[in-house]
Amino acid sequence: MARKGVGDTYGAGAAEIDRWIENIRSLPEMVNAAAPAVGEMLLAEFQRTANAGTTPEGEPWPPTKKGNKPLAGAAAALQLVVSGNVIIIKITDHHVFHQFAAGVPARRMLPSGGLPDRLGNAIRLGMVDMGVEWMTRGGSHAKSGGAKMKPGGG
Amino acid sequence: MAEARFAAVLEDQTSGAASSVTASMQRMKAAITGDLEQIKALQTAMRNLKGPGAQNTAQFSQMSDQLTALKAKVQSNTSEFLRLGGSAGDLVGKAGPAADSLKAIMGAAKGVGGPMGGLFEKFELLKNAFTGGAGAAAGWAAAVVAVVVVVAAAVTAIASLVYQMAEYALTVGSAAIKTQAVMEALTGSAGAAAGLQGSIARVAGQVPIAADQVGKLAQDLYKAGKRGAELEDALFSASMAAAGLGKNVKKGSELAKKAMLPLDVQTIKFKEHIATIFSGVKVQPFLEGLQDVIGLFDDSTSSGKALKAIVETMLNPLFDGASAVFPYVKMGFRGMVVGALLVAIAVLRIKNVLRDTFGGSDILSGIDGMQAAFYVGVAAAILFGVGLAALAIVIGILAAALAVCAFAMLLFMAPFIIGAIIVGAVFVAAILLVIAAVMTLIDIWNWAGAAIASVDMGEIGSNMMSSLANAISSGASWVLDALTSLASRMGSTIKSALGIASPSKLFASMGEFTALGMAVGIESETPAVAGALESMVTPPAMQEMAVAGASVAQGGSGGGKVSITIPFTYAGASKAEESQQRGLLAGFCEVLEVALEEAGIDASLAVV
Repeated sequence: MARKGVGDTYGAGAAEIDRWIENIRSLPEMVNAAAPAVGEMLLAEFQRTANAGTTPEGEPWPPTKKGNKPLAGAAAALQLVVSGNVIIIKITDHHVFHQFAAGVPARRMLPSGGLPDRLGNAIRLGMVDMGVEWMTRGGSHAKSGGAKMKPGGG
Repeated sequence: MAEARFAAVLEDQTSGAASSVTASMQRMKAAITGDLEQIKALQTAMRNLKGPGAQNTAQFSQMSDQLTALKAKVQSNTSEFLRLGGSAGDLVGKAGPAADSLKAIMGAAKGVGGPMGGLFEKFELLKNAFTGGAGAAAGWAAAVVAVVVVVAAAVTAIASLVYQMAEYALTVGSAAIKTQAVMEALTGSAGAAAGLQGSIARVAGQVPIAADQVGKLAQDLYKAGKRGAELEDALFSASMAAAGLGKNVKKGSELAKKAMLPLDVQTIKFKEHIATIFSGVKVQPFLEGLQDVIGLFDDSTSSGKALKAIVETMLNPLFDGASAVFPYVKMGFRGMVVGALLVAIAVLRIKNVLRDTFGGSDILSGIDGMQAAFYVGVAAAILFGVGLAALAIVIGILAAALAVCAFAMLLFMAPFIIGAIIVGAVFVAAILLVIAAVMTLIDIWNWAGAAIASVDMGEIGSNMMSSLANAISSGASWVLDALTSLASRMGSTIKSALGIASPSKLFASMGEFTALGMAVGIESETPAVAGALESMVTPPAMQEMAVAGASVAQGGSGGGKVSITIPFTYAGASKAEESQQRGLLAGFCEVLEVALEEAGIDASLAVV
């Protein structure tokens, strides 16, 4: 049996380092790859709060005069658009009036200011996990990493 | 169409940190690759050392494998800290077994033979010998050697004097025998020859020239017919003339006496007197016996053939052995030097790799370069001394062998002291040579042993691996810091979230506000944003709806429900846009209903 040389032993290690270097070099591309997953997470979260009849920050919507739950189909009205590293979640039609309390009681479906902390933290933690996966396993494996983002609290 | 938007931008903030990490990893890879090349070169050098034999090749291969295994451990540890889950502390802990491996290599090297193994073994023996009280034995040996040297010198001086005297006696006796033979041939009888020699001796004692010259003049006069007193007078006159004093100088005259006074003349005469003293020695029997003995060495005789066979049988194997020993001595010497150099190469390469990989000088503190250089120097000196001693011993053995041969010859010349002198001289020379070699070895061992006593190969190896562990720890800490910075930047990817505040004038400000938000949040998607803004539909005004022919029906009184029907027509639009506009209008109606409700008006709006 042929003797195993040093180079044979080290070859796999060198390839591993090369792969790491290439993965880290392409890390700036991760935001584009992560944007769809982050958008899906935000959409799902806003749909959840809308279905629960609360603002994204968790404040309950005021009920109708009849005491009914307002905007029953609001969750379906949320639409997600992702372009590059930009994530847009929009509402249309009469939900807009509720969003801005334009003649109707305020029933916000989208954040009024910055992103709620728990969502921002979820995205940040998810991006860290995804970044680690990106470096260690490559971008193709890490694209699904954003789906692991779980906003805590309610 | 009215829209409310929430926008978020994932902004990359990792570029700088990623570049830093990749640069550091490339540098690390280059260092490891260089390390690999050096190990390959070392491995190749080891495999090329096939001269000393297959055993050494196997040893070097074994050591190469162990070095490879050691390197794999280091490599494994290096890779460990590249993983985010690792820590510097773990790496330092894992470097311990690697240090044990190096100690095992040193132990294995001590256990095997050959140049490398012999080197370690020799160091160990030296260390033990000079830390175990062998110095007293060495002192006794030195004292004995000193006494032997003094006695041997005295014996040699006496033997040399006896030899010189015997040689002179033989020379004088041989000359006398030769002269006697010449005179007998000239005169025709031993008696006449003796008379002629007597005349020559008497005249030679009175004239300032050498007796040999007087003898030649006497032979000429004898051939001329001179005899007796006439010959003796003529010889005196001829000798004076030969001395430049003329023929007329009389015997016993003042001039003749003065002619004998010069120092050179007296010196000549002194030598002749001494020769006369030794001429009394009866060397003829000795020379006759010697002739018989020499006849034994004539290869035309059976005894000569036998002696020739004996000499060839004894000497040929010795010289053949010597010719075989010298390559071994040379190869062993070279092999041991190469072994010592390999130790130095290994130390220096590991040191250079650590320096190139992690930089700085702190990590090299555990590797004492001066100690390593001193160690190699001591090894080279010992090997040089051993080589010289081996050479001297070989020469001594050859000299002893020659002495044995001479002794064999002596068996045939037992009665003659000259043979014993030769044998003794050769033996003494051989003994002195061996003694000198042994003393050289003792001096070298004494010096090197004291120096090596404090050297511990295991400790050196341990220090090397400790330094490597510290270096990895430092490197790991640095890389981990860079990766931590990178990870924190990954978590800062959300530049800002575009919140949409509630405008006081919805329809007038919504488009502007949204556009402002988009401008803030979107950096690279300007064309798409512009398109989105263009597609925004300005909410229709109430007047437009009235123009469209709204009808209001008020049912009941006193706060009865108001029914409002809004006809919707949208000519020239696509089905999608029509549906969109209808939906918007329906939404508007819903909002208006709510507003009317809050104003105390129970209204029902419908789009038809």
